[in-house]
Amino acid sequence: MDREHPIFVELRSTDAQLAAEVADRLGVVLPPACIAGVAANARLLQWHVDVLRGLPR
Amino acid sequence: MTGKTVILGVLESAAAVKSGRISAVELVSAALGRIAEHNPAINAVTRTLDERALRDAAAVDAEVAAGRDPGPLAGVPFGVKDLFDVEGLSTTAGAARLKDAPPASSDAEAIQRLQASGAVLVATLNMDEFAYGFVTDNAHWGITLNPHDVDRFAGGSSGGSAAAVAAGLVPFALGSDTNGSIRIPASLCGIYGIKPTHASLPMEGVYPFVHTLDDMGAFARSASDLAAVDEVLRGNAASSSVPFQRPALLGGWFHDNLASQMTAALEALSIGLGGLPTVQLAEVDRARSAAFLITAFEGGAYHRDALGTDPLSYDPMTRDRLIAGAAIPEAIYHEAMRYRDIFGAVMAAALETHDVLIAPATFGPAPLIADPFIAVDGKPQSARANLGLYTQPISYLGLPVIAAPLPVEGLPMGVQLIAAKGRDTDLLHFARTLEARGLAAAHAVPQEAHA
Repeated sequence: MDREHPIFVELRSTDAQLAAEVADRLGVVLPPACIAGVAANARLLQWHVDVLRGLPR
Repeated sequence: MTGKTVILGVLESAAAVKSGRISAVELVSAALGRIAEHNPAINAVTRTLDERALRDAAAVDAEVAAGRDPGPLAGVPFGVKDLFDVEGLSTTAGAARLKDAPPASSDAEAIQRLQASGAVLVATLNMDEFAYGFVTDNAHWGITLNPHDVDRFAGGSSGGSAAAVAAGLVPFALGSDTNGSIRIPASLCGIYGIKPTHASLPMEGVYPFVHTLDDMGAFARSASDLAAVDEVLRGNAASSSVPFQRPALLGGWFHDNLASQMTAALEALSIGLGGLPTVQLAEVDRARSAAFLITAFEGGAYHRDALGTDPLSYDPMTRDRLIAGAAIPEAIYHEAMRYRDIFGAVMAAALETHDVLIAPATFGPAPLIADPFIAVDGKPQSARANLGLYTQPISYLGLPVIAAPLPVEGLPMGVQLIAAKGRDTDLLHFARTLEARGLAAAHAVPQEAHA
C-alpha cells in the first residue's frame, strides 16, 4: 500500500464521496452532519499514513 | 485563594491528620468547600461525592483516634478523571451518551489502593469525550479553563484533573495518558504529572481508549507528593533509586515548532544542569504518525458498533475522528505497530548513552480558547489534535515520563523527563532533584483567578 494505493480511494473527490467510501467500508449510513468531519479526518489519516511510510509530503 | 484557606499538599495533609493537628473530616470539608467556591470559575469538577467523602474521612479519623495508622495518604482528598469506575456512579468517560449508564459496582483498582492508604475520594473530573483530545473541550460538560488564565485551555484530555490540582481544589488527582493526556495538561497548568511505564499501574476499572497505549497516572503540585501517590498506586514501597548521571536534551523534532518562551526555558534548564548535550532521534515524525494511526484504529474499533447505530449521541469532534479511524485497514495498523521496533531501537540507543532524556511537553504555553490552533511547520493546526506533537512519540514506546513544570515567568510550561522502561522510581527521584535545585517548580495560581 503506497501512494498509488491509498487507504481511501476518494481522497481527491468531494467530502460526500469520501465519507460515503468510509461509510461503505463500515457498512453504515452516515448522517449528513458527519460528512465534512469524517472526510477531513480521512484525509488527515492518509497524511499520517504517508508520513509513517516515509513518503515525501 | 491561599489567603482564605491554607492549601496543603499530599504529604503535609497526611502528616497533619496522622499527628492529630487536623482531622480528615476538616480536610475533606475544606476541599469540598474550595470546589463549591472556585470550581465555577474553571469547570474542572463534574461531580462531588460529599456523603461518601465525609463518611470515609470520618473512618480515617476513627483510625487515628484508635491509635492505628490509616496509611501514608491519611485523610488526603483527591479527585479522579471521569473514566475511573466509582462505585454507585455511571462511568461516563466524558460522554453524554453514558451519563445514565448503569452505575459501577465497585471502585477502580487504583481508587481502592488509594483508599486503603487513607486517601479520600471527593470528586470526579472533566475530560475530553472518551479521552480523544488535548484540550478538555467537552460537548456536554463544557470546557475546563486554565486556572492561570481562564481565557486559555487547561490541556487534555485529563484537563479537569490538572486544573483541579493546580487550582488547589485537591492535593492530587488521577488521570490517564494515551498520547499525552497527563503530560500536556500538567505542563499547561504548571504542575507535575506522571505517565508510568506502560501497564505498570492498575487499569482495572478504567474506561479504555487505546489498549496498546493507555496508562493511568497522578498529578500533584510537588515531585515529592507525586512520588508518594505513585508509590501507593504501585502497591509496594519504592525501591532505592539510582540517580541519573547523564541527562541530555532531545533535539531535532523536539526543537522544531517551539514557542520562543519554551526555547529559552529549555536553554535555561540546560545551563542549570551544567550544559546538556543534545541527542537527535531519527524519524520521530514516523513514530508520531504511527501513534496517531494506532489511536485512530483502536479507538475506532472500540466504538464501531455504537457509531453505526447511534452516531449523533457522540460529541461531533470525537465522533468524526472515531468513524474515520474505524475505517483504517488492519494492514496499516500492523504497519504502525511494527514501526515500534525500529523507533524503539533508536530510543534504546539514546537511553544507553543518556539515562534521562529531556524534551518539551508542549510547544509553549496554553493556547487561547478563542484561537484554538498551534503553528506546525508554519501552518495553523487544531490544538485539540496536535498538542501531542512532542508527547506521542514517547508514549508510543511505553516509556515512563514525568511532566515537570519549568520555573518560568508568566504562563506555565513543562518538560518531559523520559527514562527507560521500569525506571519510574529513578525518574521520580530525578524530578525531586530538579525541584530541590529550583530547576522545576509548580506554578502557584494567582489569587485573582479565584475572585
